[in-house]
Amino acid sequence: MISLRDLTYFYPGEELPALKNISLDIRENEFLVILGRNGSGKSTLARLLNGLLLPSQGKVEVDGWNTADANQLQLIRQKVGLLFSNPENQLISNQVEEDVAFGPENLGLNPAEIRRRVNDSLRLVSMESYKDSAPAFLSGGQKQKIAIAGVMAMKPRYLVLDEALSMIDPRGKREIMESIRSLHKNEGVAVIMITHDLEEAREADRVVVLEEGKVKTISTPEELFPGHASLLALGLAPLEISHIIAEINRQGILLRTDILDMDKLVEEICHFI
Amino acid sequence: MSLYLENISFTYQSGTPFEKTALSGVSLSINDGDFVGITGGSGSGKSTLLQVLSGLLFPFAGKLCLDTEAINPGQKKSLNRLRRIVGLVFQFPEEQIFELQVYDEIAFGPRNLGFSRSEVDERVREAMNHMGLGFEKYSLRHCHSLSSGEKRRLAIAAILAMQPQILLLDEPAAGLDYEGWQALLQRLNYLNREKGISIVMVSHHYQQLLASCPRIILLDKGRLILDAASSSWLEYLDFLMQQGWELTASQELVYRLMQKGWEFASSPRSPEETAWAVVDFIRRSRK
Repeated sequence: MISLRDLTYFYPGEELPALKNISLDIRENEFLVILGRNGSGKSTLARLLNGLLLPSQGKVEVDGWNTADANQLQLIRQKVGLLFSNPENQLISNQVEEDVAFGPENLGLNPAEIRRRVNDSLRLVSMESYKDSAPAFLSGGQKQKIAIAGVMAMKPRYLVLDEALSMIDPRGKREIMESIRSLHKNEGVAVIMITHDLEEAREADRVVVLEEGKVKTISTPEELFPGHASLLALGLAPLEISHIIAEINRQGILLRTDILDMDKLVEEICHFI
Repeated sequence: MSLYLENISFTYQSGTPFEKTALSGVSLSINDGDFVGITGGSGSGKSTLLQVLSGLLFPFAGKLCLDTEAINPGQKKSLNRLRRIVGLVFQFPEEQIFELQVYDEIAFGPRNLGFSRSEVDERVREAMNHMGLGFEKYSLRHCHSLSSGEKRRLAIAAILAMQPQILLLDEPAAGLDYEGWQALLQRLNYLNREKGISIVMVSHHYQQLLASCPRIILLDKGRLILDAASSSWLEYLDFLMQQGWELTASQELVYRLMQKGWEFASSPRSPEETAWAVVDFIRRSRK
């Protein structure tokens, strides 16, 4: 479990906290999505989960280890893998395979295990055929896939994705989401995903919405997503399907508003004919 | 001012064991007042195409023309001519902000071109206005204190200060929240409609492009496979599906209702248009 207790964080020199009094337990095996506007504190929160930033007040504990304890930091970072949105800042080698191997090599694993992890991770993101390529000549989406493979090769207990799929095309995104789901279901990896795209959040166990550095709501996708107007008020883009339903309703044809999938919507619309 | 590509091919690391063809045989034209969305899967050549259009990547096979004039990016004079006309906004452009204050960031380009102080000032004011950054409120702000959406608009304003006639944007929505993207999109529409600046944007987010760009270009493995009006997607729906292209929820709904025997006169591009088409059909069927 990652447990946040009365967590407050100030960036150096800032008067207003980026995060204020956050208390939250992220369970092992949980699929947690964090939503909120730009500047609401999502990325700051991600950076506090593995001790990249340390709390100004309160504390963060990963499986009982305090991130402020410098002696535990290396172990904490093995458990909590963190991925950012811009892959340019995260790739270091001039060969894809070497880049993915960098983490496992630093864990001091034996060469056969490193090889296995590199191959498995590249397969999970469908990039095996690029193993000899230079990352600099890959597209933005492909770079993101390599960065994801690099973190997966570390086999973290907690995988934190900070808009890490933002540049991947819909098909690639669906494939990677499937890989992430299978890590989650089959290997019990907890997934903490920060995103603006509600599509990515559909299967979350819980959804946390941040607003101005505070936890605004904690709910499930089923509770949160159909509320078209309340999503907009939180600065979140509703699913396209909800957008269609809200507009049909505004025209005076009153469909059920809790529908989130296409089969049900088609069925519902056909009732009106 | 029109920009023409004729049979363009581009290969990265050409002549080495790592060579990779990113574009092959692409022809297209960007005309006055166009608002074009370029999409395709990761690695389909979208960003490469933008960089060829802006004279950043060369040599390439094929021809690049500004109106009737052939452009050779290898020649400085020819390249300068292209660069005055075309402005390129990279992915995550705000990461290239380096000045402390908003004003200086935007003034950097015009100052380098040697414009007078009053001309620089005029360009900065105009560019800020174009991007919805009020001069009084923002010009002396520290760049790092802006929100992500504001930073992105600042980075674009710095390019607009060079007064391009064609603005190319690579994944302009990446990382922006809903409100940030809506605000930017509104400014791009304004530039296009009121100022006559042609907009070409690359995105993997087909849903956004369909709703915001009148013209859509689809790339697949470096080839241009579609160049069509977004308001007529029903005409090429079969092609999209053959390509295994992910449909938007709006397209999916229209397609599913058509399978049930509904008829749609036009191709709805946005959730709103889709809703109106559905409502219209329900009302007509009840009469």
